[in-house]
Amino acid sequence: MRISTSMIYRQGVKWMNDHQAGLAKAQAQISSGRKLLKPSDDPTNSARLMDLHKQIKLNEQYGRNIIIANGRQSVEEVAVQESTDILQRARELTIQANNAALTSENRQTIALEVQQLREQLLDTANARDADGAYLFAGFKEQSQPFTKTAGGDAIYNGDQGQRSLQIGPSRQVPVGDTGDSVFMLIRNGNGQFRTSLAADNTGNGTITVGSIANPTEFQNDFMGGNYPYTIEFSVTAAPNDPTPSDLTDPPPPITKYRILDASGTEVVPLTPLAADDSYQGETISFNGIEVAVEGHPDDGDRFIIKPAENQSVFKTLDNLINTLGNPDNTASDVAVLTQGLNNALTDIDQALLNLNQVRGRIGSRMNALDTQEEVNQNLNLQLQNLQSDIGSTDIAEAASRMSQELLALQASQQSFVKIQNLSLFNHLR
Amino acid sequence: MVDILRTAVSGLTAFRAAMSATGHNVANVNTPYYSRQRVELGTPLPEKHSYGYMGRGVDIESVARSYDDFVMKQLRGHSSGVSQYEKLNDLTGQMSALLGDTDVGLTPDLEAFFGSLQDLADAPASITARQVFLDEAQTLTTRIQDIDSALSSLRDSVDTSIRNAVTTINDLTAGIAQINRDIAQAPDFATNPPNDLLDNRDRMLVDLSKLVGIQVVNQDDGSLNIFMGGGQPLVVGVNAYSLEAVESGFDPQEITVRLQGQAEGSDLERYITSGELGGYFEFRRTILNPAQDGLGLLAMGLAETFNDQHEKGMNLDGELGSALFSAGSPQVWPHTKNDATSAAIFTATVTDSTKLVRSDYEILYDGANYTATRLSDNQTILASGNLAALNVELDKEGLNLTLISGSLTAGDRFLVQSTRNGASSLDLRITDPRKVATAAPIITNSQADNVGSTSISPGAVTDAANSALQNTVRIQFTSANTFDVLDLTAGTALATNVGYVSGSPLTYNGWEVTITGSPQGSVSGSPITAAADPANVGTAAIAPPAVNDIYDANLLNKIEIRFTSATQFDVFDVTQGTTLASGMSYTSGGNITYNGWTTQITDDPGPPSSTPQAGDIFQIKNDGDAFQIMNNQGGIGDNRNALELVKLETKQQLMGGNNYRGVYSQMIAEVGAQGRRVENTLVSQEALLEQSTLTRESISGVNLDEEAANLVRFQQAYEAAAQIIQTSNALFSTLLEAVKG
Repeated sequence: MRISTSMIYRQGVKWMNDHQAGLAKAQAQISSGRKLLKPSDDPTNSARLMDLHKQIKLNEQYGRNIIIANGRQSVEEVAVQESTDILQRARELTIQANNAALTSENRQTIALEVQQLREQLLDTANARDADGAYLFAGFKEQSQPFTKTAGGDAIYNGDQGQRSLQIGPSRQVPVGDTGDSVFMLIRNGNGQFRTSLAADNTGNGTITVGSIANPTEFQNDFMGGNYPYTIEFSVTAAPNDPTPSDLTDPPPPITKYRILDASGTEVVPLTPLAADDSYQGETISFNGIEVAVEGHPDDGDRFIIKPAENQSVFKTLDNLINTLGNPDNTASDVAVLTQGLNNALTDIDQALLNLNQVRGRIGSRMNALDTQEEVNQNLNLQLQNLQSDIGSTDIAEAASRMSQELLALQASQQSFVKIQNLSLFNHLR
Repeated sequence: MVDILRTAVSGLTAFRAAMSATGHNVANVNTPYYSRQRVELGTPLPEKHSYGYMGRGVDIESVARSYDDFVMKQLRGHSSGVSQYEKLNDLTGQMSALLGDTDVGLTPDLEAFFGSLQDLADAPASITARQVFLDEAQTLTTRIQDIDSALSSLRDSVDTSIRNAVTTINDLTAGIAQINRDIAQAPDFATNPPNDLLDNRDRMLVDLSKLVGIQVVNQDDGSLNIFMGGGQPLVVGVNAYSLEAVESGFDPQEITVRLQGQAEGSDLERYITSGELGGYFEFRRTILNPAQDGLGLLAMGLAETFNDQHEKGMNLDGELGSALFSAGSPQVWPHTKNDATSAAIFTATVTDSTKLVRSDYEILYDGANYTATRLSDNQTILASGNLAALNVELDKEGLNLTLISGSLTAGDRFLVQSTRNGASSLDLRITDPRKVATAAPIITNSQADNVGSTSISPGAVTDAANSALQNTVRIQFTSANTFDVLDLTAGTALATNVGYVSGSPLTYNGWEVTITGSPQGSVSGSPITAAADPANVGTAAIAPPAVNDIYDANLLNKIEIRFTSATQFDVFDVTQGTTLASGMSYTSGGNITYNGWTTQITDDPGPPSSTPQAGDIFQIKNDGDAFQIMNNQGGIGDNRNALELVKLETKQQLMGGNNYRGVYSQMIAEVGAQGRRVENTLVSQEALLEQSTLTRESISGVNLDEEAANLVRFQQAYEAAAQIIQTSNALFSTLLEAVKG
């Protein structure tokens, strides 16, 4: 083939250009660390790379959200722990007060401490986080959630809103609990029903907290019936004439009870207790529940059983304070005092149970956060590996390609110099 | 003797000419498209002598150039291809750099925007977080606008390039026509071709074919006719036909090309598929338009979907959210040839941005019906139908057309650009950080004294435009299986005796809630019930309260009537912690009316009769579970709407199932794929051009070694011829000497 002189130059320059371009590319890949320098290098993987980049960024954001969520949970846990401590102290005081050896002055002293505890609890319930937002106000985090009322109770001004944070692609966790679920909406009594004395009882009989023996009957008959129910006692002297020997040791009176519903209809007809069981508290069962009356009710004394209601923890402490202020002059005073303290104890236990459940919820949410964080981190690792597989320069490969290009460039430069020196005109002297 | 001299002189002349040609070749070794020339020698007719024919030396027959018409044709074709793809490659590269990738372009701004939104969801009451979010939103809109205006200036530069190319084409065709004339006037073209003129014309042809693909037809007189791809003449003989760059009939922003003096609508764009011009048109059609349409779609989709959700939220001032973004709208261009007197003007609106397609639409009116074509895939979306039928089809593409003025005449045409203009006017409409709607406008609540084990969902807004959205609504269970829905604000019952299914959504007033669990119905049949405290000492009874106003907001509040003596009582609202009345005097059977109910407390007729005693308590409270949906006024810690906004980031709803970033990624991927195709094609086109250039060089190019050898050859021949003259001179001298002798 015939070769023209300009062809020689053109070809030489072209080859050098090609190698220089290859060299520049290898150098750019090595120094930037990126295999794909522009989308057209590999459109499909460029798009995948962008997608990976987005997922990694999102994961980082979820990590930030988890840190914030964890922070809020910790602050809340501290407040809940503080509340638990306060209630534990109130519980100890209640047990301490329930001691016949104490005078009413002693109980007044205890009442003063309980009052302090109630104030302290109110402060805790109105706790704020580092930003000054109330912890237990729901969405209304800038307004104080709990305010005292005239009666000694507190009312909840917050709402039932619970903020959630996004911690995974399709996972939101609630952070925090609303104040009413922590401090207000606590079932009193044993959580299902509550027992109490009639105000005009004269005997020293008290009624136990009771329990549920048959949940189905409880639901159908107790809850489905016309509550509240009243256990009414009838105490009559033993019918047989006392014999002389009995005069010093008279036969016990006959104690019977019947149970009426709210409309006065008999649910359980007049039933005798075993001769002297009223002391020990014979189990009285009806409509799926079991209670016992302890001590000596007088004739006509009544005990009331009704479904549990929500009672705030402040109201519980207030009830305790009021109970502690009661005198202990008569048998019925003692009964009121004992019953009041017993009820206070169960109500405090319900409140503690509720706080424990709240702590359990916080714990499980923090667990969920930890688990999700781990999941996110693992995912991130995988994503980053993938990103590096697709998008990062294989340094060894790029370096060897670079030296190849370098070698080829040098070779073409040398050969060009050699060839362009050749000209017949050089020899025409 | 004279004949020897004549023969030798003819040699001298011939070799000097040959050396002159060699010199010409050497001089033009670097001249583009120069074809090496050689002097064609021949022997003249011999002289007849009696002893035979005697040669008369050498004749210069012609100066010929080494040239192959077929190779030149190939070269022109490949030049067209290379120029086309060079321009495409340049422009696509600029475009690719402009759109960026993971580190530059829009992606970091989208990430920062949604990052700030997530941070805002973490701290919805923080003014700082709100301000940062608005700043990032502003950056995002500015960035999208910047990219759009960069795309527009790319469009402008393409337009300018088209105009420049057209000017150059006209210059070249005029030049070629002139050379045609010169050549045609040369008398003996066939025998003595004007080589350098021909080379010059070849060079102009190659230059022309770089601008636009051409076909060349040789004429007998040496002139050429030049046609473009579709057979449109550029040069016929001595006449050149000029092109002109004009605005397209629809869109004045778009420059197209037609033959000067031709009627409107005879655009040549579709015929021009190679050369620089072809590259510009292809770039605009296949890369620039889809990208700008995609960016517009992203802007319009972002604005609409974000606004929709934002309007379902509530801002820090307790107002419903307003539109966060504003974006451009679709454009409708009437064709300039449309009937001027009827002058129909349409406007287009977006009905649903999630259905938008990146395409223009051409609408044709035939006097009775419309025909609509989607230009991206040339699909006829409506073969024939009225405006309503057209809008049914356009609605599937997320568009709606309205005739706002004028009337239609048969033959009227319109171009609908759905998203081209979307990004240019994307803007942020909220500047006050308090106006960012992070909260939901409603909140739900369960009545504190509910007995059943039920819960109510936080509630979601389905229709922010519902004027009753934030009314207080009570869901009151009348039995375990039925409930009433009462709008307390409006004082109307929205529904009564609705069957209860746990977990099934309830939708009223533009919101949706679900109630789950087993509710407790009303025992008494009334929403409220009254009871004497069982611990009461007195045996006075309280009558079941009569409800006067079922819509009273406080109807279900827990009320305690507390007797302070046998004749006086206080009324205490336990739910709100307020005293409604104190020191009221008691009359047996007297009406006690509060919070929308009336009841009576009556002495126990006995025996023994009994009045209430000091310390006796009577309670009024709800009977049957109740829930409320109400205005979330003051709920500034609420982030529900912010979380809904966050969800939009990954929601795949635009352009056939893309999220926002997906739309942009797809743009980049498309430009990347086009870029790759263009790069690859350019490489192969360059290889072809290189091949044909080499072939031409091989035939027509100058080789200096060859010329040097020729020089030596001709020099030696020249010297030989000179030697013959000298010899003949010597012979002559010898003869003269002999005669003188």
